[in-house]
Amino acid sequence: MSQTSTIKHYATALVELGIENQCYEALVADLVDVDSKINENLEFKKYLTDKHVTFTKKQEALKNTFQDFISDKTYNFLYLLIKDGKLLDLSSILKIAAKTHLESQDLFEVMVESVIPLTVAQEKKIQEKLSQTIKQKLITKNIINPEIIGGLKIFLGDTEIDGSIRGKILRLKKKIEDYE
Amino acid sequence: MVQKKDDYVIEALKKQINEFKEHVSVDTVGRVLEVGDGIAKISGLSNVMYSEMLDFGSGVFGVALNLEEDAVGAMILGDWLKIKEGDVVKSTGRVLEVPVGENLIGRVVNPLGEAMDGKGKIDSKIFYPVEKIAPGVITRKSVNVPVQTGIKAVDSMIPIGRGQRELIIGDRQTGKTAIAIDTIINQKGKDLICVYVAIAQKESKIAKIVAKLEEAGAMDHTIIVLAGASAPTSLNYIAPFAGCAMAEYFMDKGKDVLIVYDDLSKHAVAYREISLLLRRPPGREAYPGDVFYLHSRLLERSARLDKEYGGGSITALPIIETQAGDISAYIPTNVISITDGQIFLESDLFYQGIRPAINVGLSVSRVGSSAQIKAMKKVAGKLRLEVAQYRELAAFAQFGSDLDESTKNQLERGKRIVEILKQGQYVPMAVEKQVVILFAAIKGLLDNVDVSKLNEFEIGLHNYLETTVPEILKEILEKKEIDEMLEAKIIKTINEYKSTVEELLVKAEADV
Repeated sequence: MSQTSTIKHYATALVELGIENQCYEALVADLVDVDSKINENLEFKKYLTDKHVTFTKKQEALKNTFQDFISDKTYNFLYLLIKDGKLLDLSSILKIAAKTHLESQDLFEVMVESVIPLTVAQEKKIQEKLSQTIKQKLITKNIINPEIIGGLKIFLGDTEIDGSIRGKILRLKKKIEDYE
Repeated sequence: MVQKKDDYVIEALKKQINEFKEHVSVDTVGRVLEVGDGIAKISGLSNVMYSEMLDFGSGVFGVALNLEEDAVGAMILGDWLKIKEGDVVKSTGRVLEVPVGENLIGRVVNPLGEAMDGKGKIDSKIFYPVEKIAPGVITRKSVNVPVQTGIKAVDSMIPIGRGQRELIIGDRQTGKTAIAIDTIINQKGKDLICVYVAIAQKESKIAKIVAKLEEAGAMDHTIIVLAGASAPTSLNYIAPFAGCAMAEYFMDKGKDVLIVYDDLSKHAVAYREISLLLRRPPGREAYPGDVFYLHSRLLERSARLDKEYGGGSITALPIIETQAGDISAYIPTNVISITDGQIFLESDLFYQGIRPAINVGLSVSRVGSSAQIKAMKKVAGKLRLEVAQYRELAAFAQFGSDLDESTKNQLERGKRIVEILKQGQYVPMAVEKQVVILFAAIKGLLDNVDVSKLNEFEIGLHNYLETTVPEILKEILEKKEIDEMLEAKIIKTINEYKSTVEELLVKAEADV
């Protein structure tokens, strides 16, 4: 489990630095962009993680690809990852960083599954209702999932509040099975 | 019935009218991070317990085994190919438990208590946890009631008592399972319930065993817990614990149970696989550090309870398969040190035709002799000595041919005792019959019977006893003791029988 804890350190450092220099959003946006580009281009990914290629060559390759589109700080972070052999963990670092960033701002991300997109008013209502119980500021993330048929399914961290039609049907099914 | 149902519906409607409420379910959930080889890693599940059942949806369950800082390692009971990354996993709030009860008797079930014999669903309302702490010192009682295995060599020299744990150990194909199955068959019509746990055994072998038990009428008191060779490793791992839980139900009811774990070496291998997949550090022979605890906590659950606590018992017959007779490997030494003795089977003896191929020198029962009936104790003490002396002499006599009379006599008697201890498979013998024939052997009454015809003589003698003087057998069974009067009676009867079967005796002229 030491693997995940080192990744956590990178993520925390990234978040803290970003907030100090007020460039967190830009930094993360750059990194997400880089991450998706690297994952799309497997050849490039292989080159960057190849142990036989020197660090300077990798540096050059990155500079050539992204040129001025990303900031110096982003470059530095990427160089650091390459040097430490952690480039493959970039996606997980970003995931953890997003979580840490929300926590540092005392925000809680709630995922709301619905069949049709929620309106702003609906989202606000959900936020109000939920913040009463957990006493923390919330931001909601709406996920469209036609499988639930209707109603809402809310994920509050480790807690699932299931008010969907599908959930109701499943509960009914279980009740009938148990009755037999 | 209909009226009752209507009332219930009306009552429910009234409640709804008074206070309409939409029900939602609130669960603790996690998401599958990775899955493979019957093991899943799950994020979330913040309040999950160790050994808690997890619901993977679509009828697949798992058990939480590794509780880490930010993930849970779980083994999957059943088809793990249905599980995808990102699937929602719900905690159930229950530790792993299996159905137990009377209606499992006579059935073949998997370690989760589901029927495997096609005889319909098993409806059991009672569940027992798979992992349970063994009974403590206060609740236990010393072992002094015998389990009759029906095998002459075992009942006389390595007696097993109720609540004992007797290991059956030996190479492959030496008759380990045969001893266990004969013991189960011998419990027919007696008060012992049997549980046979097959761990990673070939299903063909189990089918054969079930057929044999049914033929012998022994399924009426037997539960078979089957985790076949093709079953997921997780089922092999929980099988003995599940079988033990089923046995504990009967023990708690004050009944006596016999449980056979066939075999624990494969169980250790299954646990090793799970542990390595969960990335627990490997130790000797790549087994995890707690493989000793794995078996000790299982076998410690065999006990004889004091009358105040119900008076039930679980007798365990764990089986261990050795490689080329190596009893000093890791798992064999572990289990030998946990159990109260072992029955050691050897392939050399097996091929010499000595079946059951029990090595009397290496086999012991640490609590057994107090669990023998007095009559058996009387003949068994001398028997062990005679067998040991015979083995020593036989090894020594190989070098020389000039032997004095007394040595020759001792060798002849030894040969007959070894011959008498041979026994066919699936023909367990009642204890009173065992006593008579062993009594005859140690008193030298068989010394003039032809060794090659001893088997025939034995069968004939038992028939003769049953038909002409059945009171002798009855007396042994009731008194459980051989007094002087009975002794004289037995000697007289055997001599009478001998006079009727002179063709089985050694010809006196040929001897000279």
